[in-house]
Amino acid sequence: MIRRAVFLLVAYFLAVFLCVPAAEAAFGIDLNFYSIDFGDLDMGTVKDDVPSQGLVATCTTDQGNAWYLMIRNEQPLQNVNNPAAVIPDTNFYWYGVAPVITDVTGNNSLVTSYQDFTYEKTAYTGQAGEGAAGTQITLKFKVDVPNPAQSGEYHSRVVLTFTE
Amino acid sequence: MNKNMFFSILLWTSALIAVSLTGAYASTEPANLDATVGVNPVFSITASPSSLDLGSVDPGETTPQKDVVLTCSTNNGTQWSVGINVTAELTCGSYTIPNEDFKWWGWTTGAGAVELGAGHLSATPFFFYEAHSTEYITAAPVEHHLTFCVEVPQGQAAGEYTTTLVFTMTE
Repeated sequence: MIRRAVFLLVAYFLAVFLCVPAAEAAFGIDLNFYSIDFGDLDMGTVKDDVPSQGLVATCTTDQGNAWYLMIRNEQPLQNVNNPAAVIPDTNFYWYGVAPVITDVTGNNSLVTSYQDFTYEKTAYTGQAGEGAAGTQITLKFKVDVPNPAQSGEYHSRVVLTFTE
Repeated sequence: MNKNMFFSILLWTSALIAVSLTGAYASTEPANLDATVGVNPVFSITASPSSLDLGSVDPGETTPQKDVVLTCSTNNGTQWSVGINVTAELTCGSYTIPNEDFKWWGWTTGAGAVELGAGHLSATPFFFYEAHSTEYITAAPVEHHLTFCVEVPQGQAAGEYTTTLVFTMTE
């Protein structure tokens, strides 16, 4: 009798364990753009404020933990016709634009100064419990075209990583 | 099954449920953003001054030497060269001074190969400079300092002789 009761109890808990988290966990990042274009620039010129309306990363989580929005460049901006020609990560910048639209107050962790892409950095640190309704973080980008630089189109992929 | 075993199973199961409900495991999700920049091409040659007055001399004499500086820039990353020619012989009405008497020479700030040829002008373009691979994208403009003079033949008719010098940058 006791064995049967224990078996049923364990089976019940396992069933709950297997079903609950997959159905209710919310965790994700969305962007309002998936590409940015600085246009055609002369050597030695700077283009800032791209995109003009800002890249909005919406981070959503209901898992109740502190979290981070990290940003990096997969590789330096690379000339399409000559992969050896690059615009270095030291000439490519990101920065945060206040305000962050979120469901907590007093979180001033957004990095708003120019940061180059020499290594992965944290753009914003979310507090435990923040982001259930989706925290909107706005970023912009700047490029400083070296002089000299080979003519042509340069591409790279920026990766924003939402981690908790 | 004794009581201890029962409570042990109960505790472990409860712990697993607690972990799953609070989401205490690490989560990561990336989002990719493609970035594009276009760099405009530069490809130019300028000559300074844009006209050359070699003055007036008597037949059989050589004019003063005059300099022209060519400035070449490119960022297209390919081989390039510079040529020189005249559109016609120095001409005054029906009189001409042969190209063999229109002399030129020079030097360059570039690291490429210089070939001055016969030392006189021709109607056929003569490519006197081949850029070095380090100049396929010019960090600073490459300058060619060229000097010209005319050896006026004995018995040459008086007058003002003109022609057009053409400098060609090719890549």
